[in-house]
Amino acid sequence: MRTRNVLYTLLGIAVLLLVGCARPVEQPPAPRLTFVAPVTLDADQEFRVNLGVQNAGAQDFAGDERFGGQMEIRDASGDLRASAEVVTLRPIAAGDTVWLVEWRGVLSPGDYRLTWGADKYGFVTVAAAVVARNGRLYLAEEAPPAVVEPAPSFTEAPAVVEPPPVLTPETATPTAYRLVEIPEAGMRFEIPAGWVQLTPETVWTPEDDNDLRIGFTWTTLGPPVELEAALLPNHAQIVASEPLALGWGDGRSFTLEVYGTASPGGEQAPVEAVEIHALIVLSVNGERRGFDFYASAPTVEQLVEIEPVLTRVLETAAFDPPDVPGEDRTANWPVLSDEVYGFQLAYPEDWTHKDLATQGGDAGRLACRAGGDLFPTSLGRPVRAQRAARSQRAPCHPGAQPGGLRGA
Amino acid sequence: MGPETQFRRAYVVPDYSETLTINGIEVVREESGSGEYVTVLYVFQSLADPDVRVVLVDNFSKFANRAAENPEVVELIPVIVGTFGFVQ
Repeated sequence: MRTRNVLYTLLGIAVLLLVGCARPVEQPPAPRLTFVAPVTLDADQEFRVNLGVQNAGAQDFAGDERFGGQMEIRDASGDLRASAEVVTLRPIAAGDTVWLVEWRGVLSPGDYRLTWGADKYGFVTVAAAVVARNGRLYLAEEAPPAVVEPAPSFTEAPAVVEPPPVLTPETATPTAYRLVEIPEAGMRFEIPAGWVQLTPETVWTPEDDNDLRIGFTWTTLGPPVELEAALLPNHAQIVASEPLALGWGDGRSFTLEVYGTASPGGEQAPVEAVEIHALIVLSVNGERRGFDFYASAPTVEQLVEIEPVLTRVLETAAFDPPDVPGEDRTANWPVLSDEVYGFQLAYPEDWTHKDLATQGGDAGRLACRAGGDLFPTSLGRPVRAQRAARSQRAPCHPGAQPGGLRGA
Repeated sequence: MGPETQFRRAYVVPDYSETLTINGIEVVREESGSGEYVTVLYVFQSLADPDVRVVLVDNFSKFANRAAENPEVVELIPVIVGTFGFVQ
């Protein structure tokens, strides 16, 4: 027996030695991928970035179905302005570059930082600055010098004094504003004092027969209707969007191209206008109500010109919920109060509620949830109110609270 | 009660979400599901303790058959949601 054990031990050592002496398996060289992201500002004043990957290695790259490429554009304050994802990467011959995605959108003047790459292969960061110069947008390094009047010279003959340029309403930056109120929407905001309202709509323009527009619309959103579908124009393409936070509500801002009617010859419909829509949704007296503040212009240059007016509208917008005629329908409703988690909820008099059994769970997960169902006495269970508690920090629910949702 | 990661173990990442303001409180309205069966969540996060979330689950408004047969209930649900408030 002892001999057999010694033999097994020697055999084991021999196998280990063989493994140690075996020729190492040749691993394929790691791919050398370089990320490239040239940025341009095109004739339509749109910021364009092409996302590419170059195979800088000597071997062909076989592709990666779990590439996980990510692109982000952030402004100087770090806010995300655009993002894109590229899931897979196709094969790339040695030395070749493949172009995967082109992103384009309108960016206001300012500094931006673009990051493009993938966790597995690294990232490249590109800094870009957009500047407004002589009425147009440029990348900072391509911007022409600003047109500056020469300083007066006391040694030269006095120059002929040109009359100051007459600013038309469409190019002048408004300096005076007036407050407009729309009681039926519960909204008020400021509009340039000299602008004309195109009644009966809540739309304003610098002057009659001008295509520049600042407008406001609102609608009640029924349960199946989404905000964008209800308020954004038809026949339009969204080119950029970003979150929007106002003091009285949050939403999203969209920049889009609105298309006209396509010609009978089958050509692509022309871009009729470019617009910025700031959409906000609020709950007003039990209804979901969507609000749309927008700027519209025939060209991107003109849109950039009136964007400060839309910014002023949004900065000054204030919401006062319109009064609902008649008495408050919820005034006499029973109220569920939860003193542990500090909330309350009212429900119709002909509804009732039923507690749910508390659910336990593992540490690290939501350890328990407690709650109840609210439902009309004649129906099922349309609304379920739940609150979650973690057992490490609190018991699932320490006992019944009078009139409240109770745990088991 | 718990951080976002724990919350998402109990409630799936929604297909659509938007932020509403109700009674001065930000509430995230989330939709999950497709076709005739879409669950709507109203997630109220406590300002006093961000780990506390109260979730109102609406398995009615966007369930096509239920909503079609009982429009008065559909109309009442946002009113009920509108009565929610945290009590400090």
